[in-house]
Amino acid sequence: MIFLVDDDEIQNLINSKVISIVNPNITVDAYLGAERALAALEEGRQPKIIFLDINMPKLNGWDFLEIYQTKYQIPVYMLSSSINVKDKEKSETYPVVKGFICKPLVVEKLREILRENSMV
Amino acid sequence: MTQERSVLTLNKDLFTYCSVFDQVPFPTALFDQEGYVIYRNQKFEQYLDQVDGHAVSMDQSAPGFEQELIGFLEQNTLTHEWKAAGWNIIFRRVVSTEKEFVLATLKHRTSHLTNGNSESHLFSEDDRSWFRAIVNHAPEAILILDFQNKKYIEANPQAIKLFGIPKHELLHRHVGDLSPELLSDGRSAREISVGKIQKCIETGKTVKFNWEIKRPNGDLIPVIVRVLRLPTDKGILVRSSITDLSFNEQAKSEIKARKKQFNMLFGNDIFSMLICDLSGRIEDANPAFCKMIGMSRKELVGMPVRKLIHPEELSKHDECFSSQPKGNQKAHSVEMRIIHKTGKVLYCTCSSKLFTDPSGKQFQVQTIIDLTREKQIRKSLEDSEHKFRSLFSNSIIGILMIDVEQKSVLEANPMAQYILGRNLEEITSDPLLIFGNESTDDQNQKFIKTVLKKIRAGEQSVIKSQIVRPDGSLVWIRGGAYPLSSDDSNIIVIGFIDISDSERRKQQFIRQNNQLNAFIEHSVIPVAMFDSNMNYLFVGQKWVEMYPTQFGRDIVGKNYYDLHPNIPQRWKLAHMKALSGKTIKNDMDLHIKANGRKEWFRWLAKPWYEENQVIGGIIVYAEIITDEVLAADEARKQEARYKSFFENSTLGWIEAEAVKLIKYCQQMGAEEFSHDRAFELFTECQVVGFNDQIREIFRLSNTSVEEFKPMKYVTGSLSGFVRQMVNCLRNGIQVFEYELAITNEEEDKRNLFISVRLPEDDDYQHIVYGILDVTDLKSSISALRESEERYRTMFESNSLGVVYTNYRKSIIRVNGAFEQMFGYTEEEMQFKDEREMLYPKFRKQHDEIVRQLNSGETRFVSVEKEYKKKNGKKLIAHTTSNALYDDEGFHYGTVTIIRDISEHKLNELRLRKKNEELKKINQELDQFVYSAAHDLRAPIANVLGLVKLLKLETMSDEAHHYLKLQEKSLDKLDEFIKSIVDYSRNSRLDLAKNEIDWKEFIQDVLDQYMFSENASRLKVIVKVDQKIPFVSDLNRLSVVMNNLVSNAVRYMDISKDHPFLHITAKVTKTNVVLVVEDNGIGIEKQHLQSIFNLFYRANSDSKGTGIGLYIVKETISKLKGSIGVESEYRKGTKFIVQVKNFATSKRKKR
Repeated sequence: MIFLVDDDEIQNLINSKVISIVNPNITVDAYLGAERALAALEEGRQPKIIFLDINMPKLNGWDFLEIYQTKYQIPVYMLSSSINVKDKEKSETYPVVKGFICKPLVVEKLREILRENSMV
Repeated sequence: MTQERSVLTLNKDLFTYCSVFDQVPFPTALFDQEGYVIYRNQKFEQYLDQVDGHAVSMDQSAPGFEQELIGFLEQNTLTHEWKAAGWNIIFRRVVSTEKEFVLATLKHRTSHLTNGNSESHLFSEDDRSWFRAIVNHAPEAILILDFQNKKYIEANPQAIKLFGIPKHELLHRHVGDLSPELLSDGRSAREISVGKIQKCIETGKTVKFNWEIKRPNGDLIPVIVRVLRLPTDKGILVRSSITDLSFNEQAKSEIKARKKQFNMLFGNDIFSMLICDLSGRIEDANPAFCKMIGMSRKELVGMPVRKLIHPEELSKHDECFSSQPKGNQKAHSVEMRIIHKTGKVLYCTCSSKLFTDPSGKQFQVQTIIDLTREKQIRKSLEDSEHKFRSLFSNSIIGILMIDVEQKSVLEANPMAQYILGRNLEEITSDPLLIFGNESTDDQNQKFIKTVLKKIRAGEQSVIKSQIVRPDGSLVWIRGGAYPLSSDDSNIIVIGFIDISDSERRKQQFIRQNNQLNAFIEHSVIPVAMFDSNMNYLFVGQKWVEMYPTQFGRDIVGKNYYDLHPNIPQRWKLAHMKALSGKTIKNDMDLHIKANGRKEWFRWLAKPWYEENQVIGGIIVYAEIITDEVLAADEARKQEARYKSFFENSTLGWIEAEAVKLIKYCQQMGAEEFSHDRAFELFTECQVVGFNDQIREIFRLSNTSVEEFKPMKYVTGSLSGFVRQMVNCLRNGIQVFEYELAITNEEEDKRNLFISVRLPEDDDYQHIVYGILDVTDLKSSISALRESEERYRTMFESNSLGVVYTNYRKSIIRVNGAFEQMFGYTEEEMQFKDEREMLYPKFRKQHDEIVRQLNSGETRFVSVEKEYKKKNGKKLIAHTTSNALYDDEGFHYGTVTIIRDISEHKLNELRLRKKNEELKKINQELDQFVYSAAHDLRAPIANVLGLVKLLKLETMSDEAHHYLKLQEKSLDKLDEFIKSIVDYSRNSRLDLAKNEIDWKEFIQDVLDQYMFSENASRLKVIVKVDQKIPFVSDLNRLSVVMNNLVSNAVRYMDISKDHPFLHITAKVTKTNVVLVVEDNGIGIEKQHLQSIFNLFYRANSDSKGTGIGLYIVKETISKLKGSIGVESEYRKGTKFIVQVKNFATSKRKKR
C-alpha cells in the first residue's frame, strides 16, 4: 500500500494511475490533506511508502514530518513541484525521508523506488 | 775735606808704598778717592812747617787745590799738572791691589827748595823712585828684564806670587826658564819669547801676546804678556807685565753667574724692581713692579721715576738719590709713598744702588717693597703706642726706667713722681735717690736693690716695700721689674703702685680699666682679651661684629667656649698654647661654619702677663679675610677657566702672528689710516699654531702650520670680519665674536662661530681665534623651526580639532577648529575635563584610554566618541590621542585630535538601513520567485501528468500525436520557468562556499537525467582528477552542470549508433577544468558565436528555450571562471569550463 499526500486532487489521480501502471497490485490511498493521512495512520493503516507534497493548506509537508517522524518509520518520498534547492536540503535533514522527487513522477523513477522497497 | 785720617787704617802695601816715597825729594802727598790725605812725605812736612808750622788745609797754602783735586778725581786721565801760585802741582793716579789713589807732588817754580838741582836730574831721581813704587804696587805682575844679560833684575810682589819662586831665585833666571820648554805647537818657548822681546825693542812699541808660564810645581798658568822697552839710558831694560788669565776666566764665569742671578732676581715677581738711568728715567721694570703699580711695562719704560712718587716725598727722593751708593756699599733705603695707577697711595721701602755695566755705563737698581699693609699695621701700632704712651703717663702704676750699669734713672712717669714725691728732674738728676750708696740702708734704696737682686737671680721680682717721701710721709708700694729687652738687661723697667690707699687704688683701677677697655674696644683690628679660663675681659667692637652672639656687646665675663661651642678644636689648641706662653698665629685659616659657609681668618693669639709675670690670659686678634681670599681664589679660578678654555679640545683655535697689523692699527692716526692697508696686513699674518679640532673642521690631512692659510677656505668676503677686528684693535677691545662660513678640504660647507682674542700687551702680538663649528647646530635649529611651523599649521588648521590635556586631565589648549566644532571658546574649555563633554556611555572607554596613556601601556589610541556640543547637539568624532613625552621620557600630557564624523556617521546609518531594506526586498523577491515558480509549475505538472495518462489510453494516432505536441509544449514551459528561477537566483544571491567532491557531484546531476527520453542509449563516461579539496558555489555549479548535461541529452544525435557523453574534471589548486563533450547534433558554425546570448536558439525546432547557455555563461562569470565551446555540425560539441577553486585562495589568505 502507498500513501499519496497532496492537496491537489489531479496530482493524486495522476500518481495513482502511474503507480497502477507500474504495479496494478499496489493499493493506493490518496489523502487531500496531511492531517487526513495522519488520521489514517492513527487508525492503523500501514502503507509501505508515502509520497508527500510540501505545499499544502493546514498542515504542510514539514508539519506532517515533524509529527510523523516521532511515531513512524515508513519511508517517505517528497513529491513536490518546488525547484528550490533549499527544500531539497531541508528534506534531507529528516532521516525518514528517503528521496526528493520533482514533479512529475515518471514511470522510470517510480519503478526504481518500488524496487528499492521490494514492491515490484 | 782734607781732614787727616789715621795712617793706621792703611793696608800693608800702601804702608810700604809710603815708605818708598818718603825718599821722594819733593813735597808729596797721597790722597784717597774721596780727597782725604792719607800720607805726606817728609819733604811735605818740612814744607808745611815752613809755611805755617802746623797741619792745615791745603787750600790755605794753595788756594783752589781742593777743587783741582776733585776735578782730577772725576777725570779719567792718569796725570794732571796744575800751575798754582808759585807751585807746579802734579797729580798722578796710582793703583794698588785694591784701591786707587792720587799722588800730588808739589814743585816750587823757584826751586829754592831743591837746592839748585836741575829739573832733569830731579826727574831722573824721581823717575827711579816712582818707577819702583809703581812696579811694587801695580795690580799685575811686573818683571824688569836686562835684555843684554837676558836676566831679570826686578820683580814686584805680584810677580813673585804668580811664579811661586822667591825673589832672589827669580832675579837670576833666564828669560825662557819660566815657561815650558816647548810650546803646544812644538816650537821652543825660549826662542819665541826672545823673539817677541826683540820685536818690542826694535819697534819701541808694546808687544802683547798670550803665554803660559810654568810654576816649579808644574802648574801651567795662562797669561797675557805685554812687553815694552823702558826709556832709560842704563842698557836695554824691558818691562813685562803679566796678567793672570786664569783669574780672568774665573771672573768671567763669576760674572756670568752673577748675571744669571740678576736676571733671576729681576725676572722674579716677588720683589718689585726697577732699573733706571742716572737721570732717574725708568729703563726696565720687572713684572712684580708692574703688578704693584698697576701699569704695564710699556707704560713704565721711559717714564721718570719721580712721576711715580707721592708729591710730598719728592724732596726726600731727590735728596736720597742724589748720591748713589755703589759696589759693595750698602744701598740707601728710604721709605716713600708712591702712587698706584689708580691713584692709591702705596707705602714702600725703596732701596737704590748704583751699578756700572761693562761698558762703563752707570745705572741704578731700585728695589721697592710694598709696605702698605705693614705701614697700615704700623700706623695702628703707632696709634696704639701713642695710646700706651698716654697710658704710661696716665697710669696709676708708677713706672721707672733705669739704667743699672750707669746707675741713672732714664724716665719716670707722673705716677712714679707722685708716689716718690719728687718731680722728674729730682728723680733723674740724683741717682743716689734711687740707688744710694752701697752702704746706706735707706728703705727707698732697699726696694731697688731687692728688685735688682731678684732680677739677677732670675727670681720672681714682685716686691712689696715701703718708701719715704721727701716730706717724710710713708708709702707702701708694690711692684715688679723686668728688663726692657732681652738683649740689654741693663735697662730695667720698674712698675709699682701705691698700695697704701686701697680706696684710691680701686678708683684708679676702674679708670685704668676703662681706658684699656676703650683702647681695646676701638681697636681697628678685632681683638679680645681673655683670662686664663677664656672668659672675656675686654672685647673690641670689631670683635663683637665678627662673632655676633645673642648677648650683643654684653659678653664681658662670659666664657668664650660657652658662647661659641662650635669653634674648631685647633683654635682651642692655639688658645692653650698661647696660655702656655707662646704666640700663635695663622695668616690664612679656613673655617667652615655650621651653615657650610667658608670663612678665612687671620688671627694671632698671645699671652698677657699679670704684674707678677704670671700669664693672666690671652689676647686674641682675629680678622675675617674671606673677601680677600675669595678674590684671590676667584682670580685663580678665572685663570684656570681661561686656561681650560684653551686646552678644551672641542674648541678649535688658531694662533696667528700679527705684529705689523697690530702696530699699524694702534699707531696710525685717523687720517692716515686705510682699511685697505689693514686688510693687506691681515692677509700677511702667518699662522703659528692650531689644534687638532681645526684639522677636523677644515679636514686638513697633513697640512703643516706654515702651509695652513685659513683665509682661502672662507666663503664670501672677509672684509666685514677684518673691519671689525681693526675697529677692536684701534679701540682697545680685546674680544669680539663673528660668524663665518668656510668650504673645507672635503668641499663641505661649514658655519663657524669665531671668538677672536686680541693681545693684551705689546710683548705678545699674536691673535688667537677660538673656532666652533656650528653647522650642525644651525641645521638642527632650522629643522626645529620647520617642525614647529608644521606643528603650528596643523594646530591652526581648521578641519581638525586639537586638544592639549595635561597629565591631570585638564584641558590646557584647544585650537580654532575645536572651538568651531563644539561652540566653546578656548577660555571656556581651559581646565575642564574632556570626560565631562562625553556622552555617559563613552566615559568608561575614555577612562580606560587615559589610564593606558598615563601608564605608558600605549602611546597612541584611536577611537570613535560622541560628545555633547555647547548647543546640546551630538557630535560624533573620530579621535586620536597621543601621549606627550619630554626629552627625559616623562609623560606630561596628551594631545587629542578630533575629526567630526557626525555627517559621515549619519550617512553610514542611512545606507545601512537601506541595505537592510534591500536585503529584505531581495529575500521577499526570492521567496516570490519560488512561490510563483511553484504555483506556475503545479498546474503544468498536472496537465503534463494528465497528458501522459491520456497517452496510455487507446486513441487515434492523430489524437496521440496532438497529445505528444501538447506534452512537448508543456515540457518547454516548465523548463523555461526553471531557467527563470535559476537566472534570478544567480543574479541576486551571494556566492556560497561549498566543498565539492566532483565525482559525486557529476553523478548527482547525471542521475536527474537518467529517465529522460533516450537517456538510456547515451553512453556516459565520467573522468575526475581530484586530489585536493575544491570549494565553490554548489548550486550555481549545479545550474551549469545541469544545463550542459541536459543539452547533451537533449541534442543527442539519435541517428548515431553510439551516442556518448564524456565528462572530465581536473581539479588544481587554482581551478577546475571541466570538459563536457558529446557526439550530438553539433552546432552550425554561424551560430557558434551567439549560443551564449539570451534567447538565442541555434535550432529552430529546438527543444530549448534559448535561455540555458546564457544562464550558464552568467553563472560561470559569477564563479570567476570562463566557458568556451568547440563544435562541428553533426559531429558533436565540446564545452570547456574553467572555474576558480576558492579553497586555495582561502588558504592563501590565512
